[in-house]
Amino acid sequence: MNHLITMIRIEVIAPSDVSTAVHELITSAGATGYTSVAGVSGVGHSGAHNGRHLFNDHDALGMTITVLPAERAEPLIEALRELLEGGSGVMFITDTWVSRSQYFQ
Amino acid sequence: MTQPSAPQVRAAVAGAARTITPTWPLTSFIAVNPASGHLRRPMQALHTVPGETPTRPEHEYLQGDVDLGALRTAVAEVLPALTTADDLELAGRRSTALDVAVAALLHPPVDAASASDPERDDALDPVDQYLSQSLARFSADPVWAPAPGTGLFDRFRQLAGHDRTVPKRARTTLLALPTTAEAAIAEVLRANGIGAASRAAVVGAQLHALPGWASHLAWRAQHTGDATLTDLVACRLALTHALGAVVDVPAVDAAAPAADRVSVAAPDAGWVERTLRLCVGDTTHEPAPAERIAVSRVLRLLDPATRTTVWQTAAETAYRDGLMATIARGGPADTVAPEARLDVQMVFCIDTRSEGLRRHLELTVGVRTFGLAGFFGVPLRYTSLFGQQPREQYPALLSTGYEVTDQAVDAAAARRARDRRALAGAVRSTTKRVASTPASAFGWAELSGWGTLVADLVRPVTGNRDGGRIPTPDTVLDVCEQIPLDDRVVAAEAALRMTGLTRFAPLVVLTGHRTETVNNPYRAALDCGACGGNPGGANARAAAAICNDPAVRRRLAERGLSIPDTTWFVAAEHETTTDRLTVLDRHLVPGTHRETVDRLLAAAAVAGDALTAERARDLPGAGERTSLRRVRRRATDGSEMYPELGLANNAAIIIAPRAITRGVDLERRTFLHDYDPAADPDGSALTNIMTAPLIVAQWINAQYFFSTINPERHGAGNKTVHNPLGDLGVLAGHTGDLRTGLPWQSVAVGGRLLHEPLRLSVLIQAPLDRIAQIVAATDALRALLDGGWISLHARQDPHQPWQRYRAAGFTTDERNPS
Repeated sequence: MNHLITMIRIEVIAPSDVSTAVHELITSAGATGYTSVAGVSGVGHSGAHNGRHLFNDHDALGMTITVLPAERAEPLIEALRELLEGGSGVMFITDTWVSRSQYFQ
Repeated sequence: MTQPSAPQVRAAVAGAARTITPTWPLTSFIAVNPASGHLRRPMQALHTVPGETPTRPEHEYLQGDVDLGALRTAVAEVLPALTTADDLELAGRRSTALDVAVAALLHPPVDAASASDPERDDALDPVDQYLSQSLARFSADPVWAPAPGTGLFDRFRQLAGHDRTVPKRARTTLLALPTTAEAAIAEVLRANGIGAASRAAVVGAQLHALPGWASHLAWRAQHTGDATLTDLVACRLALTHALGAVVDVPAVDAAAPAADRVSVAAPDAGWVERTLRLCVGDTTHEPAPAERIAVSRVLRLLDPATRTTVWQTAAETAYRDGLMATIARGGPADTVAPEARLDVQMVFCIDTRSEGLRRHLELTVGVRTFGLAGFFGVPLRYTSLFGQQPREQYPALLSTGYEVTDQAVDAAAARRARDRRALAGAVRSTTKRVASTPASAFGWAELSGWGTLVADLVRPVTGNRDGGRIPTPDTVLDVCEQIPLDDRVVAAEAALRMTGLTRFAPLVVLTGHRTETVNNPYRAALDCGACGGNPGGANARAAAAICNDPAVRRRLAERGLSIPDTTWFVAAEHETTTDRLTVLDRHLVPGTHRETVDRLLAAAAVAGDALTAERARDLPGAGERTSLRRVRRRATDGSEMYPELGLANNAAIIIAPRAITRGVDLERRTFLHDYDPAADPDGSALTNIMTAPLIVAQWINAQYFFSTINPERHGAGNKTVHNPLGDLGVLAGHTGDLRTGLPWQSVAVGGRLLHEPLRLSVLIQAPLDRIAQIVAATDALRALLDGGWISLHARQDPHQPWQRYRAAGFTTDERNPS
């Protein structure tokens, strides 16, 4: 772990129509970027969630991952919690280490 | 008080925006479910949402014919407790709780039967009026639009801050606000003492004050990215705050519906008494207290929202029962050409208007038809030969398409046509300028009037119906160059397996559709929704080119789908205003198939005439005796309010082999998608159908439904006063909010409905376990079914009864014949 810097990694899995809002929140929190994966599938507390369909990108789940310093993560986590409160979607928060911290400042 | 952070402000806006459905601009107008933001809850919960309703007013149901059997079924469905309740002893006679409920519904409380709709008040709050005008300027005129990279809110703040029609103190306040939307919202919320608990409600109220603009900006945020709903909230809050008005905290959060109401109030005493006497059949009967209590127990369940829900369910039950009975009976023997050698297979869009032409065409010997979503499985960003920009020709469910362009077959001819078009464009531009210049306008009107008269006299003689339109030279789409082979094979196989098209006639015609209408801002609503509100010809041409591609055919053969060398795919377009069929890319048709194409066109002309005559019976201002020429002239009549009826009266989608509906008159009310389980061994074709065409059909159905039952909130109002705002939408008159949904003329004529608002009935003939698995794995379908937004009925084969899908599985409905 030498030369690595601690940061916060946030993953959000939510319906694709919420993904735009998630991206906006991440940007407004001052994160320098995010990774978005469309059409993820799995099983959650409300049942099975399909992946991407051949002719339907709209009704799918998307996963968004971002990494940012702890001081900027807190308001974002609070806002994401508010956003997800009224609907489906989950958020995972973990400590992570990055080698080039300037990319995430 | 702590000021909310920028992400928290964004989160509050995003949460409130869940109930805002994006509205597409006019040139790409497609049907959407305007209540999609409420899909997580049962549709009937709309009764509790301010400004929304899931049903018509009660008195409208009572004005129509009542199907007592359907009403009884609907009561049992909506109030299942009544089916197991004890019978009532009334004046020595036994009545079931269902009997009592039906009698009460047929004779509701007096005030309900005569209720009238409140008049719409179009007058906006001065803040909203100013904001609406500002947004119109920003969005429709590039001079006023925010500079790239700057926010809509900051542009508004700058302009309103220097607008002398705004009071000086307000201007000062506006200019002192932060430049970013999030910071300005946070500042206004803090200044007005609005804390975290009220934040969502206040933000939601800003969005719902101008729902039309909110819907447009929701689309803009997703598609152009130059404005967001956060901007809208910031603009409205900032202006309200600057003008010194109090930013109210709404009593009811418009974005978050209150808990479902439970009727606990005692029913009206007069209603109880009247129902009781109706049940005993004696108008002079003096009810005993025990009788009153027993009847009251039933009527207590029939609060106004439940009553209209029952009536709506009854209307749908009656339609669906009739549809199933019609399918069971089949068509008269003379409505289908006898089985003979198959010459032509025609694949049409599932659009309800196709059903009419398919029915008439199938009278032709050797012709069979199929139904498939009208983009034929090939999403495109299509640029025509003279087009400046690509058109997004794919369903709104998809996020992009393949870039394809028309390539001229004869480059020199294309250059000449381009020059002639440029000249014609210059003449049109000059004419427009002369006609709109004050000094020359009157003289031009005098002069051009004579010219128009002469042209009208000459046109019938010369037969020049195109009015001098310059023909487009022959082209080919560069489909095989732009779409990778693997993708072409996937698209072709998906389309063929989804329709069950595995044995091929010599000629296969992929038939898109288009409308012909002039002076109609809502033209795109009449074009093909699966093609993004565009004519479907380009997608049909692309699909035909793919299916004729030898490389694709080789790969399909390896996958068990052999297209004979003698089979040729052609593209065509059905023009829904005139019912004319045009074969596209005729220069590509090989000599071996030209005679068949000519014979098909002759048959299509006959079928088109029959369909136009049939449609004339329903068109306002026309009838059985109206000539076909007069009906078709609507396509070029700039003053025509009803060029065609579009998808009015749509009510069901049938996913099954055409064999079960062939020859049956479905009255152009059903979306028809072919499906053959034998061609779909792994169920993927049915998955594709249920997760795309079915969803789109529900959007269309919901658009018509809500434009009819709630025209003030979800309709675009009367066409005669429409004021198009560039491409964005229309205003009703010169002011007010941007209107959403369909014009009133799309669903009604005066007070008479052209569209009977019914929730979509889905009928599928396929293995039930396969259907259940797809529903279980698809969130969108579960939400639609569990919330009662659609109903699903299925059967394994024609010998089985239709069964209804419920959360617990399929159950047989005794009313539905096999």
